[in-house]
Amino acid sequence: MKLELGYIYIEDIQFGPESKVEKKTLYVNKDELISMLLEDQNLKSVSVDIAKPGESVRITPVKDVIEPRVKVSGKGNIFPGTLAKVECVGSGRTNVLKGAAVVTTGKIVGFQEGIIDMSGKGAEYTPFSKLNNLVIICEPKDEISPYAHEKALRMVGLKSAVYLGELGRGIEPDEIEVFETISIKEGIEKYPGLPRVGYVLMLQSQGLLHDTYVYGVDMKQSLTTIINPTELMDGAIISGNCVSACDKNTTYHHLNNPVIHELFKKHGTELNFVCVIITNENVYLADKERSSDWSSKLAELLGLDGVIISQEGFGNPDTDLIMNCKKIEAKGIKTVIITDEYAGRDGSSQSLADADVSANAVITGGNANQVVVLGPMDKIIGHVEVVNTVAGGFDGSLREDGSIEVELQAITGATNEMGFNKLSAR
Amino acid sequence: MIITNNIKVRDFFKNEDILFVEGDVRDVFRIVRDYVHKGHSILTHPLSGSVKPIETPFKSIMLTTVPEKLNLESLNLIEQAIINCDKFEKNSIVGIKSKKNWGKSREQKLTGPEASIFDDFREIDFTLFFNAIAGI
Repeated sequence: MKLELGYIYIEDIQFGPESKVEKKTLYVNKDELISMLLEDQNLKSVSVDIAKPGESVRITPVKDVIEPRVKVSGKGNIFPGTLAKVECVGSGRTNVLKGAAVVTTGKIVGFQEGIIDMSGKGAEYTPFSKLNNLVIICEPKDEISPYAHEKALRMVGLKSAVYLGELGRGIEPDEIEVFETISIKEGIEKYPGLPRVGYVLMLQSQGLLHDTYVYGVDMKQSLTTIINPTELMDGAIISGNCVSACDKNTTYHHLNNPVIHELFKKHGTELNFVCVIITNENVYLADKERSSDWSSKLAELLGLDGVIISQEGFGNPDTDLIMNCKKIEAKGIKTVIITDEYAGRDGSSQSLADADVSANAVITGGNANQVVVLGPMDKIIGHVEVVNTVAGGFDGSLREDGSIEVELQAITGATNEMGFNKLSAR
Repeated sequence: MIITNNIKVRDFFKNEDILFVEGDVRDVFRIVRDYVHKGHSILTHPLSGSVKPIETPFKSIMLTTVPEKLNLESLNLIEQAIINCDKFEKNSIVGIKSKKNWGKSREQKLTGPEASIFDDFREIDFTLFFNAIAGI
C-alpha cells in the first residue's frame, strides 16, 4: 500500500469573501462555513475565530485539534466511517494543509480542561501554538444531553477540517512525502536481516469524553486488531474529544502519529516496520485481559522481534500498558513503552499507577503534575472561567490579572504519550 | 456487587447488590479494600476515567458477589489506587490547594451553573461505570 502526502504549506490564515488557499495563506469565508455547520440540529449557535502563532490569545476549553486534509486520488475519503462512507483508505494521494488546524472548543461538562496559548510560556508546552488555527466555538441547544453535545462537537470539527482540506484539492503541493508498506511475505523476503518491528497503539475507550473511533467503530467494542499505518494518515482513527488534555491524543496526533513517521524513516535500513496493532483501554478488567492477550498473540503471529507501545491517559490505562508490555515480553519480544508521568510537583512520587520488571525500557513525555504560571492574554476564545475547576487547576487558579497557575495536565498536548511534544527526561 | 458514593449509580442499579457509601472517593476505596480482604475480587478499574482521584468526588466499582480466597491482584489494584490518592493529595498543587474541596460541604455552597458540575461528575462516573459493565 502506497500513500503520498502532498504538503501545502500554510503560513497565514485570514477571513475573506471566498474560501481558498493562495500564496501560502488560507482564506476562510466565515458565513459559508457557519451556515454549513449550523445544519446540525443540536446546535444553537456557531461562531469561528482565528488564532495565529505569536498572538496574545488563549483558547480554552479545547476539545479536539484536526489537520485539514483531502483525498486527491486513491480509494475512499478522509474520515471514513464517520464523515465519508466506509472504504479502506491509506493509498493514493492525500493533500495536507500543513501549518493549519481546526480547533474545537466547548463546555460539554463543567470540569473541562484544555488550554492552548498562542504566545508566552504556555505556548512552549503545546505544539498547537505553532499552527494557524481556525477555532470553532459551538453552543448546543439547551435540552441536549452531554452525549449528543459531544457528538455534535466532534462532527463540527471533522466537517470543518474537511471543508478546509477541500481547498487544497487542486493545489500543487510544496513537498511530497511517500509512505509505502508491503505485505508480510514480501517484507520477510526483502529484509531478511532486519529486525521486525510493530507498533501497539493503545486507544482511549472508557466512555463519554474518553472514546476513540476507528472507521466509525467505537473502539471499546472492538477486539484488538491490525491496521496499515497509512490508514491513520487518512483519518481512519479519530478522537472522541477530551478529558485529559495533556495526554489525550487529538485527531491531529492520530493523523501525524510521530511513532509511525519515525518507524517509516528507519524502515528498510535499520528495521522492518511490519504493521500497527490497535488495542483499547476499557474499564472492565476482563476486557483488559482479553485485549492484551490479543495484542501479544498478534505480535507473536506476525513474528515480531520488537514492539513499541504507546498509551493514552493515566490510571486505568496504566494497567493496560503494563499488561501489554508484560505479555508481549513473555513471548520473547522486546518492548519499549511510551508514557507520561504523574510524579507529583517535585517529580519524586511514583510516576505510573502500575509497574512491572519487564517494563525496563520507558520513554516519558514529561511530568503532568509540573506547575506552570501562564501570563494574562489580551484575548480569550472560549470560557476561561472553567480554569478553576479543570483537571490541573484549583480554586484560585485564575488570578485577578488574568494569569493562571495550573499543572501541565491542563495544557493540550503538553505531555503527549506518542512523543509528539518536546518534553522528556533522562 | 457495586460499591459507590454516586447517587446516580445507586438509583439506576437500585435492584442490584449495591452498597452506597456516604463519603468521598478515598472512603469508597477503603471499603472496597475491606471487601477484597473478605475474598471479593475487583471487576472494574478503581482509577477509571482521566479525572484523577482527588479531582472527582464520585467513584463506582464493581466486585464479585461471592467471596472466595484472597485475590492478590485485586488487593494490589486497590492499594495502588489508595497510594495514588495520597500522592495527588500531598504532592500535587491541585491536591494541596483543593484538599477536601469536592466534599459535600462544597456542593452545598455552590449555586447556579457552578453547582451543576457535581451532576457532571456524577454523569461521567455513571457513564464510565455503565460502559464497563454493559457487556457483563
